[in-house]
Amino acid sequence: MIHSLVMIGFFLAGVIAGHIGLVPSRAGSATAAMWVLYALLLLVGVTIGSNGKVLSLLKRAGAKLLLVPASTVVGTLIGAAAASIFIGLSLGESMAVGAGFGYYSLSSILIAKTADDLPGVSGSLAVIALLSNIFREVLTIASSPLLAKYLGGYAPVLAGGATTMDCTLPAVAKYSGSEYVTVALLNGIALTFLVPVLVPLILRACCRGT
Amino acid sequence: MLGIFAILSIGLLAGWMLRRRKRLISVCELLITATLLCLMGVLGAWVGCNEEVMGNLPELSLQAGSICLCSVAGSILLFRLAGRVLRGRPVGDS
Repeated sequence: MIHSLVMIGFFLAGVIAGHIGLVPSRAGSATAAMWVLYALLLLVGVTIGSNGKVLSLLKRAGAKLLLVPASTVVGTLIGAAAASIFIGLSLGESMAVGAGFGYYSLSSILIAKTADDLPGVSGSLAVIALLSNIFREVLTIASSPLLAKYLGGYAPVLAGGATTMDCTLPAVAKYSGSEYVTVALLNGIALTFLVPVLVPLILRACCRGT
Repeated sequence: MLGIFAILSIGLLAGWMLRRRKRLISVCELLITATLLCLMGVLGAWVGCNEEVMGNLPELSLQAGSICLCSVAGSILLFRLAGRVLRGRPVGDS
């Protein structure tokens, strides 16, 4: 929880600094964020690659184990599509935001970059993606005790989406139990690799020509 | 998108090659936190610099919250519907 609050604190500090003109406009651009994101992805790749357990985990992954990431993907997209009915966004925009699966940094920048090529897409969509995916991470951490108690140990894993391999993993381990850590890791890794595929794909497929 | 996969793949390969150098890997983990904080600041500045976004922040937050809640609810509901085969014990453990 403290981790998420520190992240939100840095985000709010950036918002205030940008709003009162403390940072040059180039620093507060999608391009600047993209370069920082590249550095982050490289480091994430290094830590996943150095973890010998990941390979053996993938070898052991059976059909049942894959039901968790599959349910997260399909359920998230159905939920986001349902939300589009009453929030004033198109089906594609809403589903693209949902397809971030909690990976706020990557999804918001991907949407900002893709939206540049698609004039029909709302200019604020990247901000909605950023906020929605931050909310998902915070919601998972804050509600894990209740979700695990009333909806079962898998519920925090499903709620966490791509964040279950890092930020929300401690909450899953604590409230669902250590036996859910393996499936949480697999879920997080699978969704992390799906975000850069699904977000631009959905946005381009649904919003082209709108 | 290809660039992102290329960077992730380079990272995976580098991580696999450096897997025995635990100290270096723990430095990478610290750098992830630092980079993530930096990214949040940059993203915040990106939002703060945009007057149109700042003017509509409450509405955008409401839309973001709605998508978040529906996405989480959709995932859990679908899993519960499809998950009868998993009933019994958690998967992924021997």
